[in-house]
Amino acid sequence: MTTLASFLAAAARAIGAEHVIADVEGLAPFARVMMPVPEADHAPAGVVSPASVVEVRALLALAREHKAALWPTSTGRNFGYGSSACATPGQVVLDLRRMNRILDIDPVLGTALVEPGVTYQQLADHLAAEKIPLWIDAPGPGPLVSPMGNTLERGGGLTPYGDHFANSCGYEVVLADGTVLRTGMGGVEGTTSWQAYRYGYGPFLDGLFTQSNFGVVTKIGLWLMPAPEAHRTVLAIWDDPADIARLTDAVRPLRIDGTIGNFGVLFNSTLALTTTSTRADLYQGAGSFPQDLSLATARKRGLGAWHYLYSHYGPRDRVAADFACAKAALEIAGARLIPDVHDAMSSGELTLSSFTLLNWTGGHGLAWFSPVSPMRGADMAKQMRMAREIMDAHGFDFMTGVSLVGREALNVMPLVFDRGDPEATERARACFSALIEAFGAAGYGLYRTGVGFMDQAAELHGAVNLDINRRIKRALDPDGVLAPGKSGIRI
Amino acid sequence: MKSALMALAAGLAASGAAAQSAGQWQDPPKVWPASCGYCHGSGVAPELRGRRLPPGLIVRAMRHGMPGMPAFHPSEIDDRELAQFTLWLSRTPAPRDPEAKR
Repeated sequence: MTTLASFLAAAARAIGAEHVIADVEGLAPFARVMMPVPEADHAPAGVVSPASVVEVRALLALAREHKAALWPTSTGRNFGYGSSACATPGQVVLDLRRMNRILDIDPVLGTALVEPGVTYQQLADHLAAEKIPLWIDAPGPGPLVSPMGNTLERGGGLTPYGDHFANSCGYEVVLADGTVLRTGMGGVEGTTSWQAYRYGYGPFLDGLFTQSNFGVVTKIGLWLMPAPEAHRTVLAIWDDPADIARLTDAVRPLRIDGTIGNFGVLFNSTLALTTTSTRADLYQGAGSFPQDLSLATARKRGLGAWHYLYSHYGPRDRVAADFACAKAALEIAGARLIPDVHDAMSSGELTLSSFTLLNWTGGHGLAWFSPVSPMRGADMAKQMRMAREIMDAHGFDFMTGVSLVGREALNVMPLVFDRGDPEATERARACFSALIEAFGAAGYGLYRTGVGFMDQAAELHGAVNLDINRRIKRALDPDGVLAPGKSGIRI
Repeated sequence: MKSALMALAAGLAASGAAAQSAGQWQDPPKVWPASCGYCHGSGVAPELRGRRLPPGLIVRAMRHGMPGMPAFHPSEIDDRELAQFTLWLSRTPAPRDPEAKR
């Protein structure tokens, strides 16, 4: 038997054959990617689905013994970043979906402790059933995905708790050698404060287990926002693409001082059009979707070049005061405001309405190019110009949905293409790689990246950084059984 | 290593095995609004109820995905739950009030 076959056979004995998948048909849902990379380059060779920490430890011991590599996933839906697929082919997905218990909700402190397979839908249903007035903050594919997976990838949402990592507190992590670590205050015997205080004593370790392959996180603490007395969502619109600079400079102080209560999302005309149209409805020509057509169509629909969807939260008086301050500042910067709109994600509600993006071209090709920009008008204008030029040159439609965080903006650009077309897929891969290279050369790094581009992204962030990650990897997982290649990290 | 028959046998033999797959897929009328209905019939993807879709087609779409639709893993919905769900979907009439999307 090969080492892989011997691992899978041993895994079947350990956790039950019905929780081990190795046949081609069974692996298909795990191999499917939206990224512009060949499935074969990232296809898992098997799937093991443990039901408990005991089984996770048993599988790690077997992986060390049989020299198998395990790629942990919670719900395996990192859409547009690789879904369930692995950095390198031949790894076995450690599918934690069956571990799906909500272990604790503290309605007083507003905290939760959940397992990997718990979805935002499950958490929302639980809070509703128990009549606990806490909000969830879900990412775009919210109902289908897990707080753990999104938090460990450092994803974001649209309520004031949109920085999911910043609102996580206390992890349980199984290391490659089977050690069970509880981070933060979790090491105190009889701990009272595991989900209340993040930093613990000595070095703060939680970040080591995000976007990394240093351990298998089996429990995660979450902070949940008490439902506010009031909230108000506003859409600010600017008509000129060049307005990106002045709008960025106008929003920055409102975010830094908290007048605007969430990151909100800043989106361009083409991304706005995807909510109601397909590309073929509007354009059948060659090359990228023309900017003039995008702007003209948006204008006809009462939209503009830039749209900033943002919200205020809190007591009614505060919401009214914050609204007035932001309105004045944004109108001075040239915005027109639609003062009351409903947005589910900004209101702690679940939705999949953002999936209309995938109807734009059809064919399920999607890769998120996500550079970080300092929140300065000149940088944002430069990033938009660079991205548009590179996407135009490759024949793709420039779109962006930016999180205006505060001192930084996460410029999340969907590269949408027809994955059923091999030529378009290869062109999208070249485009994505060119974007990373050009942004790196201009001093911009990435917030997050998907399989197929992790080595290039890691290289961009510097040889010393990668070397330090490798040294930590060698210390915690000397056999390299956990997710080799994740974020470019190997032993 | 895993066949539909084995999954079925395991599901029948071990009470709670189905719950361990994820639990949320055991009651199709409740699953619809909590998963499928966010897109299907809600302006993102077509309404599927009332179309008498062949169960085999639904199984294939769910396991392999469709343009714009993710693939669903057996640890979320196992083969037995998938069979129940597809049967329900293929037999469920279209909603009477088309405005009641979900």
